[in-house]
Amino acid sequence: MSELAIRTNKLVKIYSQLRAVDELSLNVPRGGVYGFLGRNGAGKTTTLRILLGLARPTAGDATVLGFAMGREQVAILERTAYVSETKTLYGALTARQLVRFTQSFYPHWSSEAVAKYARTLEIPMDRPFAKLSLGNRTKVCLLLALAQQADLLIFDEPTSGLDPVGVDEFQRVVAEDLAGEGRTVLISSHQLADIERIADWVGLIDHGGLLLEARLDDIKSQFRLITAAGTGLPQGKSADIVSVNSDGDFCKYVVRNNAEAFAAELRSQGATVTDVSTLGLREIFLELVRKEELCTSGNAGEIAVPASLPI
Amino acid sequence: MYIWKCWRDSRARFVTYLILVSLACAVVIGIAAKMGGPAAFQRGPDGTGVWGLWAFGGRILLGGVLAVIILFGALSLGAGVIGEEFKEKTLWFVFTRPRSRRVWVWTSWFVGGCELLVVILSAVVGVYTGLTYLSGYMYTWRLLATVLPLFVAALAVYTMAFFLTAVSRSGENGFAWGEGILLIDLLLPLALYYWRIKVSSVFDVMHDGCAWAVGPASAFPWRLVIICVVLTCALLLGTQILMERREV
Repeated sequence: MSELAIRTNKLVKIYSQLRAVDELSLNVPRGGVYGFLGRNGAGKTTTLRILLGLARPTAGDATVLGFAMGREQVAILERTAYVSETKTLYGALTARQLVRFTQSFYPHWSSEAVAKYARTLEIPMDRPFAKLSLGNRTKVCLLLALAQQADLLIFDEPTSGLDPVGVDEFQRVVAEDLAGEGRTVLISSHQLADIERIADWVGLIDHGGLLLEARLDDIKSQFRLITAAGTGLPQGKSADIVSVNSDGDFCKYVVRNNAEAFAAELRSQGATVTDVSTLGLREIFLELVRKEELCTSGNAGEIAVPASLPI
Repeated sequence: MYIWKCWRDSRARFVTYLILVSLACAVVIGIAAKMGGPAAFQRGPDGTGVWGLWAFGGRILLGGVLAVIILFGALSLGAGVIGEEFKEKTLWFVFTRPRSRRVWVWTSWFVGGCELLVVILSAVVGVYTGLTYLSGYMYTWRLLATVLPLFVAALAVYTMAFFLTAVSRSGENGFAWGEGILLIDLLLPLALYYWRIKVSSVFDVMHDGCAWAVGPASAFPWRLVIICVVLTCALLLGTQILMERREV
């Protein structure tokens, strides 16, 4: 059995003039939680739709749970639960009817899970879906996915519309119930703080391409914010220096890899390094996306897109 | 379970359709009985039937008035049975269940097709029973056999609406486009007839089938029935291919 739950190989999706997904090569390991991050229009949802057979790739291929995308799509769908970002279901059906409808497709369906999550997520089971609030609709979609007992769960913006209690409950379910049982959870989200709390792995895409893919702990240990004071401080960026912000005699560098070596180099140039601090996922995300923005706006092709971090 | 869901989606349309057809049956049988008078109960020239009423009921009622209602009802069913998924934007949900897409297409088509058959059976049996009761004479099995041409023609129209809904991604558009095509199919032969050009329409399948039932001299419209069956298969296959390739 493959160690990877999802592997994409140079996946490309072109909509007329737009390259929504651009030679994307993802490696989502089995077990644990994978945060799939990116800005609006970065290509996250398109990638997920391709993996689930809802869209066809222009080029490239992928395997999901060891099954070839497209050719073995039914086998993939038997083992994969999916919550779409739209959260639309049959409006006239109640959650109870939706459960009855959905369970007929899954031999490993868990009625215990339905009872458990309906209770913990406080889902009104007998109200028509169309009359539910956005938060409750999201919960119904989550309930249907959780009860499938799937090996892989793909959530696209799963917490949209959920109140803080619902978000907290969802995170607890993902971290304790799903990851604890060895299932693979892929979450596409803008809620970086939420992802940071529960993700083991992070993949960051922008303009359809992969900017970064690594364990969250590795990412956080590799990125540093270095604050230095002095004159004639270096302003140029390199593969390791993600960004430079200068304010008078002070400079702030976001550095990936070899932060200590860079700090030592600054000191050797007469600068005073006042602070070397860690960065949160949100700061790293913003720095990488901004760097990509600079690289691609008018300079496309001149500066290499950063490759994946060494794992 | 998807059968249940399709039935749930289309049952209101189906019941409305059934009521309309039943009402049309009742009204036209009533008119036939009232207007037919003694002539309605005369035997046919070959002595095999009570000709006046049966001819009116069989040929005009089934092959005329009801045929039009059946055709437009079939359009509505065909557009509705698959159109709900587009309307509710739930194709993502359906297509991420572990079934091949052809199963979804065939299941929804099958449910609507069964409803169509029930409507047509009800119409034919209703007309047959009504005329038997009024005339006191039971006509031949041929009138019941009109189910075949009526159903085959309605199924072709139903499948056309099904296909057009898949193409246009909307039940409303599928119905409207189908309505346009059906009107052209009904009116074009009339217009061409002016220039002595004879073109058959789907309406002819129904009318000729009913004419065969009540008029022993008429031939069964096998050629048109076969064309309808081939058209139905082609449209259904087209819908399947379309939906298999459809991006959601």
